[in-house]
Amino acid sequence: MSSEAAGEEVDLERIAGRGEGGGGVRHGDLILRFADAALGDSAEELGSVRREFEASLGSEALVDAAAIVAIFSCNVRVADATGIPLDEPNQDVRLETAEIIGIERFDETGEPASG
Amino acid sequence: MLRGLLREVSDIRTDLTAAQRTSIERLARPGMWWTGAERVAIAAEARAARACGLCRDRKQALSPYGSPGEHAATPLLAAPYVDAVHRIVTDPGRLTLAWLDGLRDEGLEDGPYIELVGIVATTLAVDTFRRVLGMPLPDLPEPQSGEPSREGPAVAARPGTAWVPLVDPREGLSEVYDDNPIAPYVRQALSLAPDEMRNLIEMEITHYLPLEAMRRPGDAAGRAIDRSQLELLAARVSYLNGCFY
Repeated sequence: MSSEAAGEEVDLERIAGRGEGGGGVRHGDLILRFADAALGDSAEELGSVRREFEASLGSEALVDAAAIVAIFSCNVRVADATGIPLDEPNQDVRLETAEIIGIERFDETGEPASG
Repeated sequence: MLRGLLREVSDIRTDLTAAQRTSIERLARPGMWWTGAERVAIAAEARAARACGLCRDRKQALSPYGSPGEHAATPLLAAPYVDAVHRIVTDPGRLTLAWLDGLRDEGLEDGPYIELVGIVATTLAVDTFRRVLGMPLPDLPEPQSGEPSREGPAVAARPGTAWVPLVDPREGLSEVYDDNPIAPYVRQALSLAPDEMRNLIEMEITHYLPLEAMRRPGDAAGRAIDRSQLELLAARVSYLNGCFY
């Protein structure tokens, strides 16, 4: 299943680690492996993917990618620690994406959270 | 090993390094609710959580609230607050309102909690950036003396939208939001501690995108990866963290 994002067709199932390839994004497979290594526990794997990333996309791209990993790791904590809902303009996209990639948050009642 | 370009901090965008330096340096100063020493201690716990054995065991457990034990922690912070810092860092996807209510029962009020969340989140961002690039983590600053202001925002925050009260941007536009009406919930989330919110905004603009660019599909604001690449990476990071706000 796919969705339009940033003017390009993106296979959202790749976000959940299903399927193969880069989800329709240039160097997508490498980008996904970079995310996995960045959040993983292996310094060796991170070093290896980092070198591949820099060789393929360049140093500036590596810095910008590290910045994205950093700020989204930060924003996730803010969102999860405060229980904020999703902003209204994004709700339809969020629900569609949740269904596709199979991710849902559950609140303490066991029901899917509203945002 | 990194190739030559990234060996020097000066090769990294100056807006990134400036925002990160500010995030670390400001930890030393008394905040709204915590002293400088406590703020630095919160940041130190956020950093220590990544290697915490109890957190690792909990992360593997079916329920995150069943594993007994204590974190090896600074005596400056009460145990429930240390636990809060560690959980926010290591298992954010399984935080619940019931857990937060438990913290409230332990005496942690919403204002100090939000300041703590801001410190944890931005410290984590700085450390994550440097760890991902294979760079050493910055030293935490020496705390400055002085008392926290113990004054909340000038405009009342209202409960009901999130687990914590939020200042409505229409009511706190100039006092809290610096006359910027564009305030998605991730910004409002820290509105009980406006200085933490402002710091997060600066981190967001420099590390992700300015808000105007966020709203324009395809606009990567001159970053070296295009918008599709950027959003794919962001989505995967959020997914792996158990959230896709």
